[in-house]
Amino acid sequence: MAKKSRKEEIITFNYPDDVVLAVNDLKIYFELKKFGFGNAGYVKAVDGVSFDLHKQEAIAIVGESGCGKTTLMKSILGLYEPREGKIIYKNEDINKHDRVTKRWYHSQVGYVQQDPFGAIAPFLSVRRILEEPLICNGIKEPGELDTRIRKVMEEVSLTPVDDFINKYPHMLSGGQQQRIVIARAMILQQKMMVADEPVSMLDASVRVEVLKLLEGLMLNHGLSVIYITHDLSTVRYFSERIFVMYAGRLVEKAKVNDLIFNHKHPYTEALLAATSEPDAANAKIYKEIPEGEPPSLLHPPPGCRYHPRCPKMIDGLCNVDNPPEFEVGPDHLVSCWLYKDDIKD
Amino acid sequence: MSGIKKIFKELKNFPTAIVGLVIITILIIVAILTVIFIPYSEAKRQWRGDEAAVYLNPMNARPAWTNILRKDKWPESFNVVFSESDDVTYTVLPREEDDSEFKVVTEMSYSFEYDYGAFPQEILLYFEADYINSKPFIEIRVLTPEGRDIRIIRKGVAHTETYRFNQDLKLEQKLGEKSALIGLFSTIDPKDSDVPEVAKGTYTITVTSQTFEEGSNVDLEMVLHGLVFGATGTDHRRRDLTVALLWGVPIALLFGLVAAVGVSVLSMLIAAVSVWYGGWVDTLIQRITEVNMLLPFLSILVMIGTFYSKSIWTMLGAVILLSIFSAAIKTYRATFMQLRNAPYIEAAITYGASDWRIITKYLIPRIIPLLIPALVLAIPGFVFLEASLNVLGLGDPVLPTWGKVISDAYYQSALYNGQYYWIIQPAIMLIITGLAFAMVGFALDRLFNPRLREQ
Repeated sequence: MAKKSRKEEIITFNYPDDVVLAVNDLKIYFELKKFGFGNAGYVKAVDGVSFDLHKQEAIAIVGESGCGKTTLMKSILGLYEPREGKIIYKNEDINKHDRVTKRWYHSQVGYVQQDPFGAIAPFLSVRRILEEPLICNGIKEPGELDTRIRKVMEEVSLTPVDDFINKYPHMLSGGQQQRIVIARAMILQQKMMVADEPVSMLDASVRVEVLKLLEGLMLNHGLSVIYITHDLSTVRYFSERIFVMYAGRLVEKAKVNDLIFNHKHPYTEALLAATSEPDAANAKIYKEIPEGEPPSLLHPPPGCRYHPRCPKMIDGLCNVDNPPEFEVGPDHLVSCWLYKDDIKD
Repeated sequence: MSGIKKIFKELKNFPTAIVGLVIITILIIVAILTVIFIPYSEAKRQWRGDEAAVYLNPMNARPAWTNILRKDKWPESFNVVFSESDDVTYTVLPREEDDSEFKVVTEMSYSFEYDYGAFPQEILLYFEADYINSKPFIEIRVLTPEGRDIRIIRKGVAHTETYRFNQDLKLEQKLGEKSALIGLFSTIDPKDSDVPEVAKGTYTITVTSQTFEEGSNVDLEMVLHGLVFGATGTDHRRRDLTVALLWGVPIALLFGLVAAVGVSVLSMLIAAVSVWYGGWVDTLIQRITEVNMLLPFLSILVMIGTFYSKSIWTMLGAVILLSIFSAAIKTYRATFMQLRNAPYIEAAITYGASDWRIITKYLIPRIIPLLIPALVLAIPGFVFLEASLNVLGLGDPVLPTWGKVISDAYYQSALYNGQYYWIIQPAIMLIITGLAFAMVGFALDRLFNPRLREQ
C-alpha cells in the first residue's frame, strides 16, 4: 500500500488552468459476491468514461434510468472508488488516499440531490443543516457561521431569513427544501456543483424557478456544473454541452444545439424522439421507440453496447469492436461506427 | 430541550404514564432520603445483624400494622433504661443494723400495662454494674395483675450482664409452663385449662440491688420483645426489614438504570460503528454478537459469583458486558442499515463530515426515538434480574436488597411459617417499580412510534 501511494505522488497532471475537472477513462465496477466471499463477476456501471469540464461551464449528462449516470456522479463526488481511470480536479487526483486532498476537494464540490426531503436531515433545523458543512470544514466561530448562513439563504431567496432559519425540513415546501439543498451545496463557496436531477421531484411550477436560481448562481459565482438528468426538456436551461450516456459509456458529446438539431448517434435519436412535446395530437401518434431493453451491465454485449437494439447495426463491426470517438463536427464526438469515414484528419 | 418539554406535554394524554411517573418520582425521592438518613455504613451495620444494632428487635416479628386486623392485639416491643426513665421509682431502703458501712439497698420498680392477647417473645435485662471488688447483688421480682408476686432470680452481677427470662430453665420449672414468660404472664384461671391465657393488666417489675462499695451502683435496661415490630417487621436474625426495603430502592434503581442505560447506549453505539465501517469490523461485531447470544447468561453469572466476587458492582459490570452484544445490536443494525445510504448522509460525506461525526450526529439521533422506550422498558428487567441473582445466592453479601429479603424468606420457609409479610413486602416493591417503568415505557413507545412511521 505504501509503495503504491509513493508511486502516486510522483504523477503530476498538466491540464490547462481552464480545465476544472478531468475524467480520464473512468471505470467503476461493483463486485458481485458469491457466498459472501467468492467472486460472481462485476457490474460494470461505468465503463470507460472520459470528459473535461471547463471553468464556468455547465454540462449535462442524459440517459435512461440505470445507464450509470448516478454512479458516475457519485464517483465524481468521491463516494465510489474507481477501478480504473482517474478523476482529476485542478490537477489533483481525488482518489489518491490523501486526507488533506480529499478534504480540500470535498470543500470545493457542492452536491445537489434529487429528493430534497431525503437530502436534508429531518431532525435538524435549517440553521443546523447549513451550519454543518462550515463546522466540518473548521469554521466554528458563531458570528461568522451566522453571517454566512444568512448570506447564502438570501442568495437562494429564502427570505426573510428569520422566517426560515429555525424551521425544520417538514415545515417547508418541496421548492424551499430544494433551495436549502442548493444553499448547502454552495455555502463553502464551492467551485463546482454536481446536480443529480435537481428538479425531477419538484412540481412543474417550481422547476423553472429552481433552474433559474441554479443558472443565476452559476453566473454569479463562476461555478462549473455537472447536471445529471433523464429529462431532456430541462437540459436546455443552462447547459452548454450535453453528454449522452448509454450502458456505462458516453455515446455522444455535443453542444446543446448540435445535439438537439444535428444528433448523430442512433441512440440519441431514439432518446430525443421519446421526449414528449406538450401537444394534444401526440396522444394519437404512435412513437417509434427502439425495441428491446438496456443491456445487462453484468454481461454487456461485445462491441457497441447499443448494437442489439440499433436499427443501423453493421454486422461484423458493431457487434465485435467497441467504437472509438469520431469527431463529426466542432466539439461534437460520437462513438458510433456509422461515422468511421467522417474522420477529418 | 423544547423536545423534552413536548414529550412531557404529550405524556399527559396517557394517564398510566402519569401514574408511572409519579411512582418513579416517589421512588427517587425515597432513594435519596434513604441514602441521606440511613447512610451506607449504618445500613451495612444494621444488615450485618450486630447485637448492638438489633438488640431491641424481636425475631420474626410481624409488622405493627397487622394489629389492626386482630381483635386481641399482639404485644409491641418496648425498652426502658431505668436510670433515664421517669416512670421508674427509686427507693433507698433503710439500712439494717448489722449492715456494713457501704452497703446500700435500692429498690427500682417499673410498672407497665400489658393488654395484649399474646405472650411476649422475650424479656431481657441488660445490667451494667460499677464496682471494684465486690459484685453488687440483685433480686428481681414481678408482680402480676392478679397479685402474684413471683421472685424471678437472685444473683450477683458482673460489670455487664444480660438476663433472659425465657432462657432461665429454673424459672421455667418453677412456673411450670412451656416457657418462663408464658408462666409469668398467664392468668390463674383460663377459660380453657389446656391453653394458657394472658392476664391483662399492670405488671410491675422490681429490681432490688445491694451494693457493697462506695460509688458502686447498678443500672439496667429492660427490653420486652413483642410479636410485632415497626412498619415492616423483622426477619430471623432480628434485622429490621425497613432497612432492606428502603435500601432496596436506591440499589434497584441504580442497578436497573445503570444497566439499562449502559447496555442500550453501548449496543447502539457498537451497532452504529458496525454498520458505518462495515467490512471486517461489521463481520467481527456480528460474529461476537452471535456467539454471545448463544452463551448461557445465567451460568456465566453463577460462575463469576462463585469463583470471583459477588459484589454488586462486579455483577453489574458482568451483566452489562454480557448484554451489550445481544439481540439489540441486531435490531439497531437493521435500522442503521436503512439509514446508512440515506441521501443526507451521502451529502454529509461530500461536505467532509468525519466518520465519528456521521455516527454521532446523523445516524444515532435518528434512532433515539426507538432507543428511549426500549431503555425505559429495559429497566424493570434489570431490577428483576438483580432480585433473581439474590435468590440464586449471587447477591451482594453486604448490601440489603429486596432480592436478599426474598431469598432469606425462602430459605427460612417464611410462607410455610405464616410469615407472609416477609415475602410480600419486597415483592410489592419489585412489582411497583417494574410496573411504574413499564407504564411509562409503554406510553413512550406509543408516543414515539407513530412519529417514526410519519417520517
